[in-house]
Amino acid sequence: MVVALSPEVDRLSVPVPPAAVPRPGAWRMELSAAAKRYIAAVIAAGAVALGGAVLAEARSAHPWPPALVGLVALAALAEFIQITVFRDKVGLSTYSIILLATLAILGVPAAVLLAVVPGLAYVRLGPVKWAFNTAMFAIGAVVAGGAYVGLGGPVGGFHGFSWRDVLAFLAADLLYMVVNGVLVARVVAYAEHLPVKAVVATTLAPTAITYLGNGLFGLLLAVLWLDAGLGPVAALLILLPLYLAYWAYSQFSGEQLAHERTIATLIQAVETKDLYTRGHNERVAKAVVIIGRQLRMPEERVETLRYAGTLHDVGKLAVPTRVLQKEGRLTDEEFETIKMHPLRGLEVVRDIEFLDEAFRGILHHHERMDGRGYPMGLAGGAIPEFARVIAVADAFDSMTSTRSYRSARGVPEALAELQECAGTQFDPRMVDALVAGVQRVGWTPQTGRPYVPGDPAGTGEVLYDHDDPAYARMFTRDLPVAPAVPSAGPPAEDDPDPRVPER
Amino acid sequence: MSAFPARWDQRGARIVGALVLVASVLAVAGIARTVSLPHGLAQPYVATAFLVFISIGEFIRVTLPGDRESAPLGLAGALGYALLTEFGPTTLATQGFGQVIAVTVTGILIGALPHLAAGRPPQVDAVSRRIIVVSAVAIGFRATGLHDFVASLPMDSRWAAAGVMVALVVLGMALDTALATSVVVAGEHAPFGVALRDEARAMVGLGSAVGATGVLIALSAAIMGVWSLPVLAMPLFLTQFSFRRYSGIRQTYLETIRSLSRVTDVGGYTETGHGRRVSELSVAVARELGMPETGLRELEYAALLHDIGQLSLSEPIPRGATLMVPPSEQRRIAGLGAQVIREAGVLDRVAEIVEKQAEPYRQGHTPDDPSIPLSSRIIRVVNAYDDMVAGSLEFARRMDALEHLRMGLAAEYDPKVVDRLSHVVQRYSRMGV
Repeated sequence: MVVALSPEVDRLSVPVPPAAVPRPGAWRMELSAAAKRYIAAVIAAGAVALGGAVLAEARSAHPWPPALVGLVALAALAEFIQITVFRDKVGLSTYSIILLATLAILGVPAAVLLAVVPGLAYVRLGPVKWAFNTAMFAIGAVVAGGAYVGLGGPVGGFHGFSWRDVLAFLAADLLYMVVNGVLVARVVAYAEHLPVKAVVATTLAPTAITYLGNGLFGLLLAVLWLDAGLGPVAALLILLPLYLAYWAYSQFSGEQLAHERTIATLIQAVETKDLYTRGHNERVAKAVVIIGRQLRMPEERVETLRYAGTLHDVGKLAVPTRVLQKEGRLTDEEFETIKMHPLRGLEVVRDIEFLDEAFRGILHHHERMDGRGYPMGLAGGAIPEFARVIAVADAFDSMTSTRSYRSARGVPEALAELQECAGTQFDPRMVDALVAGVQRVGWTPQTGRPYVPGDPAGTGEVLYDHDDPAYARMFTRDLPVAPAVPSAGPPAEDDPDPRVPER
Repeated sequence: MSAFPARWDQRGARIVGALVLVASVLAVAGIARTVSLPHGLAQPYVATAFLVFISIGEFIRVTLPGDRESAPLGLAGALGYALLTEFGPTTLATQGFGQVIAVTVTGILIGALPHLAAGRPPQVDAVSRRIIVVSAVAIGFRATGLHDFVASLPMDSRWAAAGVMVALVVLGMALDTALATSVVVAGEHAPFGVALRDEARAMVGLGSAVGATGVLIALSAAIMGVWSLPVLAMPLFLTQFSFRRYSGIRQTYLETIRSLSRVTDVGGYTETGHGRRVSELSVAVARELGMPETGLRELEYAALLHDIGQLSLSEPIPRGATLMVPPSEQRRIAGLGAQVIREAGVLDRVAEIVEKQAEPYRQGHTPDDPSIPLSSRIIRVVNAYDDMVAGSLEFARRMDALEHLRMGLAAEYDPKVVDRLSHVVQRYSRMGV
């Protein structure tokens, strides 16, 4: 329940939740002396705020109104039915809405007292965390309440619409979020040895707008409670749709995760058939994302591109195992079956609507810029952009992976080879993007021994990888058969290279 | 509407026809009553505001999980209009129930027009239910003394007004649930109790948010006037948006599994369309056996993926018919498939169903092995059936296959599953599918 979103969440580029309230949670590591001092200071300030609130409430004209009981009960309900998404990483709760409404309904002291309620959820984490979180909520309420009252926000009734009231409420909304967010970010930064700025950037910033918007429902609640004379009934009626929105959101994000995992798993299952491309699809997906981001494609397109990368070889299942496992050179006929795999891949995925642009990427990922590729022989700009991206990523991963007929080439070597083939086989723009992207974020090639088939279906050695540019060249007619593969491994040096066609 | 797309026979069509008829009668009566009034439209300004709101709400209708079409904002606006007592501090809302129905029907028609033009007609039973529910609430509130009672309440008793309205809306939603259930029961031959539970569960979700918003619009319009419509639409809009995305990702998920289940076809392991046929037939059988919606979904996934274990075979089984291989091999393939699915970490129950599909429903002298889930039994039976029939429409071939399954009742196939399968197959054969 630490606020920090995991890299996994980032990878999925999950849309911002509607009301992601940063939840301070379990910090696990040993805290430094400075961190301990910081926590003590926050707790002390919180205690002062709470003590002051009790005194102020007791001395007010109408102390401890029944509405306070109602609001406390609502806050407790909101916390109790809080919805967590991403396995407890973000909590969705209507608490902040109730708190902000309390400012306008009963005033600052009542709102500060409300801080006790969400704090209770942290009792099970030990007294320090409980005290810290309670204090944090109280301080947030003091600051937000001060701003609201200071800017002339009315307490106990709005009496007609005024922009000033709305502004005062917005200020309270904003400050509550900022104070809470910064207090938590500080402690997370201590615990995880990160700069505060980085924590704020990953936790608070992405959800700020939606959070602010949700806070405004507090204003609506206050208006209905006070001016429409509905009291707590208003709260129940208005919080119900919001609660359901959070629920649906959490279901959505759960399904999205499940969907991702299912695709990845099924693709792995397909990979078991083709002995040595284990992990290939996943790495191609990573490489196409690098290229897409480098080209500054919108995040949505990058996402589709990633799917296209994952699924690009699904049609290889249609290639008979005996062809995939054949030793020595393929006949033209056998190569024809390999050339069919993009078509068969499309046949599998064509009904998955959201893939849309990915279809063309999958279908044409073996086209070449000079028009000598397959299945259609498209050339240059006629090749869909996704296909040009995948072609580069595909060859890159193939070259940096170990094959039984050659060892893996180093990343710089593979990139150089791609650059050499830019213009004829690959789109230079994509190659440049990959080169720049890999420099920026790095690349972890397939490591370890070549994948030796000790596999369920394993009967033979695999000699050829259809994604290997050198291999592809063998089947591209009228091309000078350059000794294009700088031989990184000994086999090609000493033996007559089996890849050079006889003709 | 129907929880799962199924092939409907006459019974389903009749009940939908009845709904449309009732809704049309209400619509015509409401419009006739409104135009025949001596003073014409009461408060045209208010009526127009709600008309616009309902049209927009109808236009941005959503399809919820289980292929249930819904127009949350439109329905909430219509309910708000039905329950309206005051509009702004000075205006009493004097429209009769006829006018409420007329405005609602007009709004629904306007909102549906762009969709119709684009060739996406609304689900007629869902639209009819919306009209019937709004009419019922409007008549219940405005044709009885309830409206006058609520309007006479002082400001500090607004909670009582809210109570009356909530009660009426709850009754309306209950009526909606009952109507939706009757459609599912008739169309898909699902047992009433199970269908009612499924529909009620679906209704409690978005339906309660719709009802709450309708009541709030009616109550807050007294002080906020026309502003209550856009302002109170916001929370519900957020809800609707979230639900739309949820239902979208579920649809996508299903599409993905349907598509990726074809890899065994493409790889030559199974006959084309086998997985899809087994899943459709399995769901239809399970529906009749009274499986709830959550179970149906897992069953559908498992049925689509039931042959995925064959990917690990080096040589495809001839025609992919697992029926033809020895039981030990069947079990091994099922186990491999379950292993693949379990890998995902999110489909464990689906994996279990796939794993147990190779087990007979009873062992030796025990009457019934309770550890075999119903879904596994269904897939076992339907898979064997499809291996024999392979999607053929030939009646004799289907009957032969069923007869063959009956011969396996003693040990292989669960009798109640075979019985339901035979019922579904005969129903489909009569309909020519």
